[in-house]
Amino acid sequence: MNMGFCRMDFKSFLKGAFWLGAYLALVLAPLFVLLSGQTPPGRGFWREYSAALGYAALSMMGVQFALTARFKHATAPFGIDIIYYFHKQASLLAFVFIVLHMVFLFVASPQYLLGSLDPFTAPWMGRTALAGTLSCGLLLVTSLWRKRLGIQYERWRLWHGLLAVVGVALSIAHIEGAGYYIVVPWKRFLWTAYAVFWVGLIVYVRAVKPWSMLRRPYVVEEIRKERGRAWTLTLCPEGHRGLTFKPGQFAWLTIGRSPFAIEEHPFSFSSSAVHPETLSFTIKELGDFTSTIKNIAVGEHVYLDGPYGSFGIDRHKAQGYVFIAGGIGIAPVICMLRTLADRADSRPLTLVYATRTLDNATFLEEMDSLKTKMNLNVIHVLEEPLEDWQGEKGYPTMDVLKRCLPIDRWQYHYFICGPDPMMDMVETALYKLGVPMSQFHSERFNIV
Amino acid sequence: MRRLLAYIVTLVIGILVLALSALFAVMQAPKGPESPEDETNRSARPVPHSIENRKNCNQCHLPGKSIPYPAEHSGLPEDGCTECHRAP
Repeated sequence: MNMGFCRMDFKSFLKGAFWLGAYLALVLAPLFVLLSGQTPPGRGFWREYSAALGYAALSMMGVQFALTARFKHATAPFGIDIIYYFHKQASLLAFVFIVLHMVFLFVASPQYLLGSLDPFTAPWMGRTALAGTLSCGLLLVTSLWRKRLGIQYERWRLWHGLLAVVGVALSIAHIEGAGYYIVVPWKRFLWTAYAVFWVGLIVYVRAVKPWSMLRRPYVVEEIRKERGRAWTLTLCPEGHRGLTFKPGQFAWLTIGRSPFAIEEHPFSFSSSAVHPETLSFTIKELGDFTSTIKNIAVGEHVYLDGPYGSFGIDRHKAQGYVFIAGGIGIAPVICMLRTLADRADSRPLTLVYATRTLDNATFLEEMDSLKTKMNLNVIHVLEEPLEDWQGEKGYPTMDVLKRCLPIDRWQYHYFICGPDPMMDMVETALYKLGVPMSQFHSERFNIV
Repeated sequence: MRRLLAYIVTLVIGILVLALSALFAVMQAPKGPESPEDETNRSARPVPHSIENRKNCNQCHLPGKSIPYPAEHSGLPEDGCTECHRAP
C-alpha cells in the first residue's frame, strides 16, 4: 500500500483517531461497566463469551444510530460516504456477533438455547431475542439486496429505520428479561440510560433535526435545463440567512414534502461557495425521483440538511488541482471551479471530463468561458465521439491519464467524481502512476 | 481505496471486540473453558424435596413466591428445572 497516508493532515488524523476511539468506547464500555463492582457468578467460558458478544452486538447496533445522525464534527475527518459505508460494515459485524452469541450459547448449553428459541414455549425473554434477530436479519437482507429485491429507495429507507428501531428495542427487552448482569440497581440504571441515549438519537434525527429544517425553508427560484439530461435547481433562503458551504460539499434535499417525511436525497452544490445567497444543485435524470426534478414548480418549498462532506479543495492545500469527472459527477467539480474563478485563483487546474458524447457534456459552454478566466486545461474524454473528433476517446484509463496529467503530477491533489466503475479505474490508474493515495479524493453514495 | 481502509478498520474493530469479549469471559470464568456437563454437575444442587405431584416448579419458585429461584435463572425454560437439578 502506498505510504502517502503518512503525510495525511495531522489534525484530521488526530480528529479521526479521537472519533474512532469514541466509537470503540461506546461499543466496549458497557461490557466493562457490567464487570465492575459486584458481579454475578461465572457460568463457564462459552456462556460468558456468548453474553459478552451479545452485549457488544447490541452496543454496536445502538451506536449505528449515532453513525447515521450526521454529526458534522464526527463525520468531517472521514467523509460522510465512508461513515455510511462503515455503518453498513458495522451492521454486518454486529449481526455476526449476534449469530456467534447464539452459537456459543449452544456450545455452552444446547438445551437452554433451543428451549429459549422455541417460539411457542419459550419465555418472553427468548421470544424477544428471536424476533429481534429476525428483525435484524431482515434489515440486512433488504439492505444488501435492495435493488435485486426491487425495493424502492424511499420505501426501503422507511422500513430500514423501522426495522432498526424494532430490532434494537427487542434486543434491549431481551437483555432486560435475562437481567443477569444488570441485577445491581446502578448497573441497570446505566444500561437503561445507555438505551435512552439511543432513543434520544432517534428523536434527534427524526424530530429535532426536521423541526429545525422546517424553520429554515428555501424556495425554488429557477429550474434550468442543462446538457446531458440534467437540471439545475436554484434555491433562495426564505426568512433566514441561508447557509455557507465549502466547495465540493453536498446537502440532503427534501423537495415538496415536509422534512418529517423520510424522503430526502443527497446532492452536491453546483454553485460557487463565494455566493451562498443562492444555492444551485445540478441533478441528472437517473431514477424515479431525479426524473421528477423537471416538474418542480418555481416557488415550491425545499428543505436542506447540510452542508456535509470532506470532498473539496479547501481541505487540501496544493500547488494545483486535477479534477476527473464522469457524467453528472461534474456537479461538485463545477462548484469548485466556479469558486476558484470567483476567488481569482491562479493555480494550474486540469479537468478531465468523461461523457458519452460532447453534446452530453454538462456545462460545456461554461467550461470554455472559465478557461479564459483561469489557468484551466479541459480535456474531454468521449465514449462515443463523432468521426471527426481529434481528442481523447473511450474512458479515463491509465493511458489517457498519462497523456492528460501534468508532468509534475505528484505535486497535485486529485478530485474524482463519477460512476463507481470509473472511480475505481481512475483511483487504480493514479496509484499506478505514482500519485500518493493521500492526494486523491473521492466520495461515493451508491451504498444501497 | 478509502473504502478498503474503512473495511480494514471494521475488521480491526471486529477482532478487538472478539478479543475483549473473550477477556470478559475469562475474567468472569477464571478457571477457563469448561464443558457444559462440568458446569452443571458442579453448580446445580439436587432438588431437596420430592417432586411427586409437584410438577410445576414455578408455583413456589417464581420471583415473588415463597422460595424464588436466583435472578440469573430468569428466562430459562419453565419445565427445564430438572435438567440441571436432579430430583430425588
